[in-house]
Amino acid sequence: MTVTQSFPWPDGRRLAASLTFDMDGEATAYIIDRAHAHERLSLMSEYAYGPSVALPKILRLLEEYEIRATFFVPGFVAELHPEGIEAIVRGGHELAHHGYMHENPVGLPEDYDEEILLKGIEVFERLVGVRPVGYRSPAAENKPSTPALLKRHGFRYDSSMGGSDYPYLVATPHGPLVELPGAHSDWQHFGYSQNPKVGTGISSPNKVLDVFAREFDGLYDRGAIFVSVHHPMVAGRPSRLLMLERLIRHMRRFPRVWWATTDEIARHCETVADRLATVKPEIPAPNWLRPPV
Amino acid sequence: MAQFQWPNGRRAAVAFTFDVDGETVPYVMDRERAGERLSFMTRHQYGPNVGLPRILELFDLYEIPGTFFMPAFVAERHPDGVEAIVRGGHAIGHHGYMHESPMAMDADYEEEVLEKGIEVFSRIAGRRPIGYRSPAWELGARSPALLVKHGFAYDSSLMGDDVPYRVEAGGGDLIEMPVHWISGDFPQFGGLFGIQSPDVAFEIYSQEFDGLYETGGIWVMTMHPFLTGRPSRTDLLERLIQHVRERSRVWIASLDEIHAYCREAAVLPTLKTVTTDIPAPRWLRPPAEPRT
Repeated sequence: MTVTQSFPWPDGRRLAASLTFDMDGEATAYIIDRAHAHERLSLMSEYAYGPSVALPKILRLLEEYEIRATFFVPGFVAELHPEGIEAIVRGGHELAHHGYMHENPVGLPEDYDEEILLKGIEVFERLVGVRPVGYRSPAAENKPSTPALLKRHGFRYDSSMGGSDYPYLVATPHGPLVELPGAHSDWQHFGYSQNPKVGTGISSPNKVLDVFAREFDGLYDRGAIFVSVHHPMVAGRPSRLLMLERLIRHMRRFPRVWWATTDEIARHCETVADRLATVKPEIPAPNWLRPPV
Repeated sequence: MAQFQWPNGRRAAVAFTFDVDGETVPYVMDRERAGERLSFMTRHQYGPNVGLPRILELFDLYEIPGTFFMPAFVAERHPDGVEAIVRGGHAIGHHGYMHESPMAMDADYEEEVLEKGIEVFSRIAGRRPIGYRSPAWELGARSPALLVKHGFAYDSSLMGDDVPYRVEAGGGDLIEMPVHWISGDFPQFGGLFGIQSPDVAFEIYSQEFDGLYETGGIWVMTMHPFLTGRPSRTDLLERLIQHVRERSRVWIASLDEIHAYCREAAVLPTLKTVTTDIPAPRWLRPPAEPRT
């Protein structure tokens, strides 16, 4: 397959690939059922599985294939599982910000956004002496104000937005923020709840592998970036762990892939910043011809 | 602490379990009008009337010790079904009376339901159930203590591990036989999210077993006779049984048998122990109105 070198990856690498894990853990229960989750033992057990049972299995798999990954962890979950956070850092993986109680930023005042950001930073510094430089908004819901807030607090990159197959820069008054767009997330295939009804049912790992692998193939052909998003509570279930290994094995067949954490990729992007497109974090206002009925 | 191991060099355990919900589910889904909806009710009566005998026949052929959780209301209406389960050497577990979710009851009501089920099965099956599965998999934080108080020895309603574990509650404990939505027929065939093809469902179930086999876990399949008892899905179940049989050293057992093993003096201390404490949320600010 002919590869068009569209992006200046280092050392003639044709694609940068990063496996990323959003470890939402017990915070998920409070998203699904804020009012009653504190009484629902079955529900909470399903989400606690992520950091307590899935995480060690995922770390062993990554170690076996010598892959360093990025873990986006809400501060609340880190506080509940300090040994898990330590294991992530010991394994050479990156720890990145993902809110505190996995708060969706949309609709929240900006001073609350800042409070959440500072709290998440404080948790990581306290537990493992690490200051995160990467961010993914809970529910991947950045606001126009988010990039400037991140840059003001020393973040190097964000990975919550779409809009391109390649990394790009988001302009802020404090300098450009690197954006690493995610290719695909496993939540829409595996996230499942009956009460309340959430998601689209449980998919076969064969189908989901196909979705991820074909997107990887297409991005590889275009010399782009592949950032996959996995949630340990679903990705670490036995059949999905097998699927993750199948995906890794598929990706490993390709020559000249740069396997890296999202921070490593962001650092490289800063060195070739003049070759990246820059966008402003603005949303075009609508222009309805008539008021809505 | 020694690692949890299966007996006699077994590498993994498999429990084929059924929730025989029968006539209760129409009332759970449509309390006001289920008493008028004849067609709806017949589709659920299919479970104990047609699906259950078919499944018992399949289990007999493959010599599978199954586990049947039954709301006591259904047991009262199908005592012959209960007797057939007992005659087949299978285990029976408590599953509410009218399939009540623990989260929809207060403590008194929850206890009344537990007592009613114990009384019904003692009478019809000749023995009380030692295992419990929460209808709708909705165990409350208070539920394990009530189960311990009423003499239950194991539960199968939580999703916290790949192997059995121990839940401390009410001055005693329960062995947890973990389940998950992946290994169940309702998400695939119940109609809430459409209806899956049996071939794709086979991929989902068999691969979950494959993963658990590799790591030495317990695969608990949760099925319903009104769904898996339908011809195409009974055939699917047979394929799954054959898929499991291909592997070496798998222990196919009822949850009562697996429970007995977990209680052995040398095994019990190797189980992970959890409490019923649920971490409280730590909102930095009081919640605003939820986004719609």
